[in-house]
Amino acid sequence: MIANIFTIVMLSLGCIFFIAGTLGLLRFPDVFCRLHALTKSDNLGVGLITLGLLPQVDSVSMAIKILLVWGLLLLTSATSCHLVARHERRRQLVEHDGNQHNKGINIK
Amino acid sequence: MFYFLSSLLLTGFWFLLTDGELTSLLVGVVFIPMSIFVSAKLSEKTDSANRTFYINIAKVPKFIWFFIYQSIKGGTDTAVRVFSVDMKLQPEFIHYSIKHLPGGSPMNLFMNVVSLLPGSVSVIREPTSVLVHVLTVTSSSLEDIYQCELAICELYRLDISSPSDNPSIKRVS
Repeated sequence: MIANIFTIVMLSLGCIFFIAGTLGLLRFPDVFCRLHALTKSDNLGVGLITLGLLPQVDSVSMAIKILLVWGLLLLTSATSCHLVARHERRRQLVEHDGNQHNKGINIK
Repeated sequence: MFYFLSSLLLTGFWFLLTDGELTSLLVGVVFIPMSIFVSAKLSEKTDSANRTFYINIAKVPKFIWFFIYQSIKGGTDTAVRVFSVDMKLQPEFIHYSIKHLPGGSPMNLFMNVVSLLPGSVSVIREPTSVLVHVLTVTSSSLEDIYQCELAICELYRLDISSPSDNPSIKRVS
């Protein structure tokens, strides 16, 4: 009974953080801000859902599997966030340099 | 040693994911060595300093606690902004100068954990600093990044006695 209540509370909280992540994707103004929403809220959402599922598993190996999936998700989320941010920043710098170059040609 | 430990770890993962099915090794026998090869190649590429770092096992629980606490703080901070009407965003790029961390795996871990701190995402790694995107520049967000650096130093048993200034930043347009 207590385990079921714990699961319901954790899964509900996890879903709220997932909704926050998705809403952030829609509401935040640029790529970098959207990455904040996706990395932080979604990671917390996954963590809460993992915690909520743990009392429902029937074997230790299944519990380890769920924790392993959570760990891998954290790792991929943080790494892909960094890669997207780095790519976007480099794109911005190239675009900025291109604009400066074009301005120079126009002045000449 | 690297190959032996990787083989052991990945075979363990494989058996965990396949619930110990022996027949699944027909596929695993191809993919486990392939993963070890890719991992070795990537380590060669990234570990340019050729320095090995060891984790202090006794400090792992403290680091996990720090990580969980910061994840909750970061996730809640973002969710509160998303659900509020004005969101209070003043996004900026800052250069956070690294005080103690060397390159290699401690720096990689730092880059990943910074993205989970409240209001900050690591963008580009530079030789002595990290370009960080922040939702708003506050003293607490800088302090969090500095604390993260200290936590990783502690985890890797790195020397933090060298003189360092307070967390310093340079804003970038």
